[in-house]
Amino acid sequence: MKKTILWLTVLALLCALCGCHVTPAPTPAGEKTAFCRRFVSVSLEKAFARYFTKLSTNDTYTAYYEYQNATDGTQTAVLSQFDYANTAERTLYQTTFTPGNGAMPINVSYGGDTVWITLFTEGDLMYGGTTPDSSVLQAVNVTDGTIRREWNLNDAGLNYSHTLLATDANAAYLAFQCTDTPDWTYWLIRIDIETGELIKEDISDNITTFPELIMLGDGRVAVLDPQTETLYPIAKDTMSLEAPLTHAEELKDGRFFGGSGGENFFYLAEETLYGADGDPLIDFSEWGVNFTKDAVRDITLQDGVYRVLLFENDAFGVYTLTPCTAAEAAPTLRIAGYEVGDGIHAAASAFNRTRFDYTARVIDYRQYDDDPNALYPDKAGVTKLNTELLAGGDFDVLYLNEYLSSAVLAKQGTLLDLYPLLDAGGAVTRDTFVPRILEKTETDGHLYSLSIAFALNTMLSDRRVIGEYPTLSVADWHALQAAHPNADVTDMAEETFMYYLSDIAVHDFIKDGTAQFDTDTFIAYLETMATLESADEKLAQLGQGLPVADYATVADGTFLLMPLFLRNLSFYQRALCNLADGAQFTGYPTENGVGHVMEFADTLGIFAATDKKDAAWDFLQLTVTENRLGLSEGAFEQPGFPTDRASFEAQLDYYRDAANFVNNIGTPQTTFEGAPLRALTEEDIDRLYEMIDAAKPLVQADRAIIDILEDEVPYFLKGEATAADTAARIQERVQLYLNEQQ
Amino acid sequence: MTLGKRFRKHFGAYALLYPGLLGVLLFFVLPFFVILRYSFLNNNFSADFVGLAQYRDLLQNTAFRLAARNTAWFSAVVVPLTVALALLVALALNCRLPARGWLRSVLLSPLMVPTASVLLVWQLLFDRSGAVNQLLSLFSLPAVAWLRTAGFDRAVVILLFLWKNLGYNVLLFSAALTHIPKTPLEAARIDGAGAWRRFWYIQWRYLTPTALFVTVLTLANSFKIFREVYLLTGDYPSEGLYMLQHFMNNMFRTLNYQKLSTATVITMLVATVVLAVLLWLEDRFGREVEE
Repeated sequence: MKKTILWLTVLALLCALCGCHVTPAPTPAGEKTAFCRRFVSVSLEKAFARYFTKLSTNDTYTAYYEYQNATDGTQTAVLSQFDYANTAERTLYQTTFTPGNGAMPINVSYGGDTVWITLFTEGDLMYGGTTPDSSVLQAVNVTDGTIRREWNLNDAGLNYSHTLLATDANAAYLAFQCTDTPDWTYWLIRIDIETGELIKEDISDNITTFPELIMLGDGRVAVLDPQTETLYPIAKDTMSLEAPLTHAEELKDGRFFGGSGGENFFYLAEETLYGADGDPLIDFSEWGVNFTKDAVRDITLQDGVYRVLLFENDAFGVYTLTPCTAAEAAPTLRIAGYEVGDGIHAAASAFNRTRFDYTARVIDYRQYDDDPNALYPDKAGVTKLNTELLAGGDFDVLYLNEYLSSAVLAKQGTLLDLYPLLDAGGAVTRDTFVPRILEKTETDGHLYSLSIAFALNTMLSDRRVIGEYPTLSVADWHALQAAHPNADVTDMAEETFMYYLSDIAVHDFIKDGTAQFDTDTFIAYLETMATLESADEKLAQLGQGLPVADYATVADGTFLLMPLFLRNLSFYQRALCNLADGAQFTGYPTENGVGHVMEFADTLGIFAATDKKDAAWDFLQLTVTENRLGLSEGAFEQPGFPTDRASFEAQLDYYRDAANFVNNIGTPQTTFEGAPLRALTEEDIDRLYEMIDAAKPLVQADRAIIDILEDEVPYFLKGEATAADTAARIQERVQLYLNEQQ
Repeated sequence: MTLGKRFRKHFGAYALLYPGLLGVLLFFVLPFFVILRYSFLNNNFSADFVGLAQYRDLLQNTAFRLAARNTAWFSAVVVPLTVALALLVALALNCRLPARGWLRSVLLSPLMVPTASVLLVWQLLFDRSGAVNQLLSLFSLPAVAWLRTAGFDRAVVILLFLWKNLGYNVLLFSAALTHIPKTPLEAARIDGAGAWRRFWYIQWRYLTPTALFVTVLTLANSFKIFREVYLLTGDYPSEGLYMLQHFMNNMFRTLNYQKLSTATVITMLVATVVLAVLLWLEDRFGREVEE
């Protein structure tokens, strides 16, 4: 007994001291339990309309598309086969036509050597003429372009949108919705070239909405009712609908695809593909294949190889997933964080389309919160992430934000210093960033994180109203208030002011590890805050038309300062144009002359214990350099200016060019408020750079300080504590926090 | 008897013992050695051995020293207070009081209420516009920010501790009181001994092992006051309420596993010494009573 306990204890000690752990039994060598990924992009840049795409099982796909000749304006329709294994295009059939003078293809399908095209010609009944709209179905021989047969679909009663599916060179099906009667009816047509027969069947009893056609794996054609997500195979002889095929009941909002590889049909829900029996076949995301459901054009399975045809950002691409051994499969590059931004998911997706030696996978620990959909989650995911980090978890890249602070992690040796990597002479160096951006995020001369974007939090004023105030102290604030008794200084709520106070706290009220909140300056801030209304009071007044600070009210002196979150050049240009020569980026009240706060978005660091440092660094380089932060399009969704110098300068170049801000008739475009837009001048750009240089970076390390402020200040605002008492308590608690960090 | 025979004879006992022993080994002994190892490293990632540097840094850390001081102070105040009050209440209940059983149930009820909901009630009681201040206002006394004023905040936490722990201790003392033989007490009364002398020379001697056990239990509970303080005042309370577990919790939050491990080892060493002394006392006085 004693010996047993002794041995167990010794074993436990050895395990503890050596850090050994039990590993599961290895998979037998050579067993193909994994998938190897490949992605080929075929941009089809010249194409402006694409009608048909279908994957073949031999590394090719077929597309019917149109492009316009740049010189004579003629259009060409092309049926091409793309060999994506060798990135080659083989034209099967093409025809040239004059736009506006012919029929417009509505649907195209391809089977055998025949292209089936439905052509729509608009009539002039709507314009008082006598010619009705017409729809024609043509079967064209791809080898010589001759029309094998043609049908007038109007005669068959087709007058609305339809889907077309060729089964082979000689037969095709059409499913359509008919709007001639008060209740819409749904129809199915089978066309046979040899006989010229056009068999029509009313399927309204089974179909509830616009029907689609799908080729089943057993060679039959099925009609899909998208509303009920039910497939009805079509009896070839009678054209009647057979017993429906359904997928697993719990699956909804997915998409059906034609079957292959022994599966009658596929059902795609999220990124998991299900077979006809409802069993999951593959989770594409597990192997680094990420897409939006609507981007998928076709899916096939042959000999265990999955192929997915995607159409995204005006480009086609094909993923192939080939069975391989675990040793052959790309190792996973794990990117972990809490509340990971969309930009990082997009970056991982982009990485997986160019690198096949690693599979980038984003793990958002928000999924581990008890209720991830709650407005204020309990952050159990953060605790889990922290625990795994402390246990030396299997991470490569960390997504850094207020929950996972770079400063905190760096202090514990959890993050790699990125300066040596930047100085190694790769594609991304110190010089490829917007000047001084890196300095703002460095810690004691080391750089532990890279951000994709930055934004400036500031306050805008009109110098013609308030005079020259490039910066503003609390005393200036009160002086302005006294000088403009009929104006509101700002429309900020107490809470907004406190957020700002939290932002600057670490810069203005902590010096060399000592808190300085029990000072007259901080008390003055608190008292200034008390002159503002609370968010609740503001909300209560909204019904009575509460005035808000905007460009007009700043220009007419109703408000003296307007909070501005400057995160793209469009916003900057808009401010300059709306206030003409008066725009002045005063910044928030501060005692040290810098009132702008810089925030960073989508920040990444490399986990110190990673054994995939090179791949992790490649991932960081890709996220920083890939210019996903467009110009003015989607400006409101953008997280900020790009930190990548080339991307930022490209944006500046766009805004320098006056031609981009005039409309077709040569007059200037206007801002949302109606002011004429003008290009940015060099002086404007210099001002922006000055703001960037001066801005105080928001330090994420000090969430604890923000929490303490948010905890204590409300007591003062409610009148339950004096400003001095509040400042003293904040001082005591923050100092306690600082002492812990010693 | 050979080892094999002894094992066969006590097989049932061993079969019951091993799962528990394995659990203790896996979830207490093994983690402790892991923690011990971490306390000698610079961090978990480069894992460089730094000797006693972490211990030196920690002992110089003012926050840790404050937490240790506060925890010691709190234990020094609440342990004797709780034990003494529990004993007094138990003695009172031992008399033929009306509704004695009901009173015992009332004293035990705090153990049955979840801490989070208890604290919600306490927050309402001691809020600036809470019940306690409303009571004070009846006597024209000024309102007090109980949880935000140095001194008062400690008083509230001590009161909360007493309320939560008194009942169980009373139960233990009451049980011990019922087991004291009646004969010596009767003999002492006949001999003219007063209540105090009967208590001190007879009852207290029988109660000593229980008192020591209650002390150990209360001491352990006093270390666990963090939960209540944390729910009342958050990660960084006022200085007077900042306990060792605040320090450890905050070190976990800021991923400073080395400080966390070092603080755990030091706390465990101190707790082991204190408990060893108490157990030695229990053993000594307990044996005296048995003899």
